[in-house]
Amino acid sequence: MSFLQRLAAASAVLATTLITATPPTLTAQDLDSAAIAERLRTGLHKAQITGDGEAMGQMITLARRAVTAFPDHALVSHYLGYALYRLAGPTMETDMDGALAMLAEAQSFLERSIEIEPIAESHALLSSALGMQMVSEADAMTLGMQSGIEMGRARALGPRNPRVRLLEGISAFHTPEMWGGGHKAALGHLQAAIELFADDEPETPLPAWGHAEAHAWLGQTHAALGKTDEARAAYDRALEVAPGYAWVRDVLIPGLGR
Amino acid sequence: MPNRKISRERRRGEVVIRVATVCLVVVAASPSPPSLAGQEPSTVTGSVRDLAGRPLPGVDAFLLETLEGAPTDSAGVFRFTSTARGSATLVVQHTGYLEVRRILALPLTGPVSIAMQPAPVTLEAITVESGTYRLGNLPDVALDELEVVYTPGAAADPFRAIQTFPGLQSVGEGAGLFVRGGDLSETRVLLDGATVLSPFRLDTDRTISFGRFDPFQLRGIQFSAGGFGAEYGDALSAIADLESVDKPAESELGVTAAIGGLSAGLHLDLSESAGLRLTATRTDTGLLMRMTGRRDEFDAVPRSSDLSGGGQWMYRDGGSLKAFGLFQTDQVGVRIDDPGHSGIYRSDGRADLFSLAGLEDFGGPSLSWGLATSGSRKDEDFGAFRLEREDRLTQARARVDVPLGRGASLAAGTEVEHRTADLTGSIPTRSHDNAPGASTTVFSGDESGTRLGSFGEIELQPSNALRLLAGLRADRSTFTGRVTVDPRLSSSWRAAEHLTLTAAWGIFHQVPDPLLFEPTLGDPALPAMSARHLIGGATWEDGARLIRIEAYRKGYGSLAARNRDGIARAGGTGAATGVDLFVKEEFALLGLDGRMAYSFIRSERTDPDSGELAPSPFDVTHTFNVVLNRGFGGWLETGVAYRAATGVPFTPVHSAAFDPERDLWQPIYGTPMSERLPTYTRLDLSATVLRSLWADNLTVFFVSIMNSLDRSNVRGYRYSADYSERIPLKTPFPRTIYFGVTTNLPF
Repeated sequence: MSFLQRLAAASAVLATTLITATPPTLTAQDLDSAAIAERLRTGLHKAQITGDGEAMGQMITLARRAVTAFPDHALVSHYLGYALYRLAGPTMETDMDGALAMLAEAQSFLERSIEIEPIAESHALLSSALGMQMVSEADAMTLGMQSGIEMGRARALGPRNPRVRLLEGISAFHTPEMWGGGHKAALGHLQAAIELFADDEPETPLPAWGHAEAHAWLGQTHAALGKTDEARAAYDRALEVAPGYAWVRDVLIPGLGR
Repeated sequence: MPNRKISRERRRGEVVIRVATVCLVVVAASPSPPSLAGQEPSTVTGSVRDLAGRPLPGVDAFLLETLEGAPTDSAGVFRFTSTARGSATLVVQHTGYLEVRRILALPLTGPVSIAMQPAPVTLEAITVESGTYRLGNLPDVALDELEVVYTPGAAADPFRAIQTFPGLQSVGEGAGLFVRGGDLSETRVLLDGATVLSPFRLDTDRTISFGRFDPFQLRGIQFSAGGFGAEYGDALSAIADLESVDKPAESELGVTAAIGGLSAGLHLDLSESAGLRLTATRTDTGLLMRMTGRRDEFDAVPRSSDLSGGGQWMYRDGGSLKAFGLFQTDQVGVRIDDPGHSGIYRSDGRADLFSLAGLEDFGGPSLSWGLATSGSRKDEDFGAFRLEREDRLTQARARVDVPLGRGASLAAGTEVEHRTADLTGSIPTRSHDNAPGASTTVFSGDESGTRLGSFGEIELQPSNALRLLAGLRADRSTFTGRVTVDPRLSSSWRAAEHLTLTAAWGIFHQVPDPLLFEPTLGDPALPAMSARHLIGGATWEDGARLIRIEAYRKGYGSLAARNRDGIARAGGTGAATGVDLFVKEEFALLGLDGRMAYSFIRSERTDPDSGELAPSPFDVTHTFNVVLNRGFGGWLETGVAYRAATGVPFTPVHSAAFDPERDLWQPIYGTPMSERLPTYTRLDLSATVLRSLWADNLTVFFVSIMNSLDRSNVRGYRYSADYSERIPLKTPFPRTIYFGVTTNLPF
């Protein structure tokens, strides 16, 4: 057998070996879904603190892609629901229909997350998303009831969860006193949330948002009650927890003087 | 030659090298996994267009395996770098378009071209059915549970709320459901699939009856005014399919105090999968009657006691058990002035219902089953008339649903009902002579029988725009000793996004009341009564507005009924033809929610006294209902309801002959159903204030002014002793203010 023949034979064997030795095509499952969830957690936190709308949009895009790749991963669905809920708030000021569409989508992803693996934060966010969809009095009765049930489930799953108390506080802030809300009720929830945040050390990639936000809402509540000094102190504390918190620095603190 | 040999060797070598090279190229080009390590990034680029070739900006294109990607620019072009190598899945997503997935070999040798197809307009599966409305917390409801509560004049009675829908004739002021020319008994009421033998309380008089259920005991009601599916047997006209509430979401104690009664309810949320409810109610209209100046008419004012409870246990995902129990008593004693006798009519009733229903969902096929017993007892007494009647219905049923794929499903089921009816009493031989001591027919009957029914039904939804339902049921009752076969068809076609056309046809049978088989006054050879429905309709629904119009024709055969002397008459026929219109709309400008129902009907059936065909006693030519609700700030709900209806027909007495033997006048009746009561109208107002008095509390203060214009509607006539004078019997509901409060205490 000549050199060329041996080379050809060797090549053929090599080719056969390479072809048969090729592992099955990789799938999305080869990605680390927990790492993606962690990337979403940190990315969303950063976008929220910096007030970077573009970064928030990018995180939503990433979360949508992740949900496509991991349709059965509870936290990935949770973070997409959370991101849409976050974006819906500021959108409401300019585009109510768009905001309601986002909230409806957030609701569906939070419900999906709960269906896979319920956590207190998903129920609490679902409660808030339902609450924000109340635009008419008829909605107030039906959605209000559902929202209350979801918050009850959140409390049952996380009786000492600071994010549940934070969302209860925000809800109370926006709810009339005759419906059990009001600024005093909000104050109680927010102060309790802040106490609970002191011992809050969720494992990654579980939700960890809300600490600085609790101080920001506490400040807003003090401001609404006419306690400007307490409000300022709360805003300062929010900036200590999350330096550069754009909403506090650029909106809430300047708004105190007005 | 050697050169030739060398040359041949070289050529062979070149061929072999070429083959080897091809092999290597093939190896290199064969699919391999994307790899992130140690690779130079390559560019993934392409363009996205719609089917018309127009570039689509803002489309997200990414690799499923790495999540690397980029949106398209204004020219529909995407470009991103990836370290992946080998086979990878490009995913292209855009709102309003179908997702595209494409397997790529990376690095790409050139740009990818993607064409996106618009997603079809997402339509919910069609749910509009002929003659059917849903109320409560069910999908596609026409009224949710609070709208039921807020219906002015309905006194939070779901049956009275149903009366505001089209196809129901306004016959008296009771809660009875007289549907499209049919008698009250032609509407079958079910709870969790079990027949409710006696769905109304205080039903001694059409004018004061109430439903046995309050809206908070029910998750929802599916009400069908005709053309219903083969699942439902033993009903000629309509089905009210009630579903009890699921497990409570929270533990709480609820209390309601109103001018007419007191109620307390306990909800126990035992776990994520189990919960119980218990309610006790005492109703006493004494104070209400005093307020309306009618206390003197009663020897015993209408009063009732209720105890009900239920629970749900979801023992696995897709498996649940639901139990419901109800025990009620009611009493009334009212003065009646008849030409033959003036005295107190007394009624003492009680009813019970116990139901156990199960669902086993096997992730495709499912099995639902139920066991139930429902009973009632009523003792009535007036002059020579005395009746003690006790009924019981014990039933078992099972239904299997099997999805066949591609929008087809099959359902089949069977039910067996055992019915007993005991009757003891005496009724006047001549209806006008009802004084104590009058000639009577004394009887003591004990009728019992079993009905076995089975059905099969196939549902086809070849698209979200078309739904076809074909079913067949067969029943055999030992009362009639015969088998009846009922084919039924219905179809719904969404002709446009908001417009659905419906049609239904079917044959329906119902076994007459067991006591019509009693040999003394009845006919043991009665066959099952029959009806044939033909319905066509159109529904427009665009979210803010629901408009439904339906026309129908109903033919009756083998009707059995008692004449005024209590004798059963068989072989009756009849027909009903009509048009129903329903409009529900939210008026954004005024903040009003409103609904309007109008029904037109011409119905006739054999008059059991004369044997002639005459307008049916429920032939209310025009029935008009309008309900408007307005909320203020989420804490105040106000409502107004107006009802107007043609008076019901009746057979007048045109003269009388004196009977010296009994020393009383004997009426001589005119043409059957030749006169009508005056037109009926009523305006009801309501207001509800909602407050939260403590955390998670909802306290509701309600006030309702029924018949606020104090209209004296006529519910019938009585005659003077010699029948020379006709005296109107006025409404039992003069202007009445009803108020109360309900609150809850979570724990």
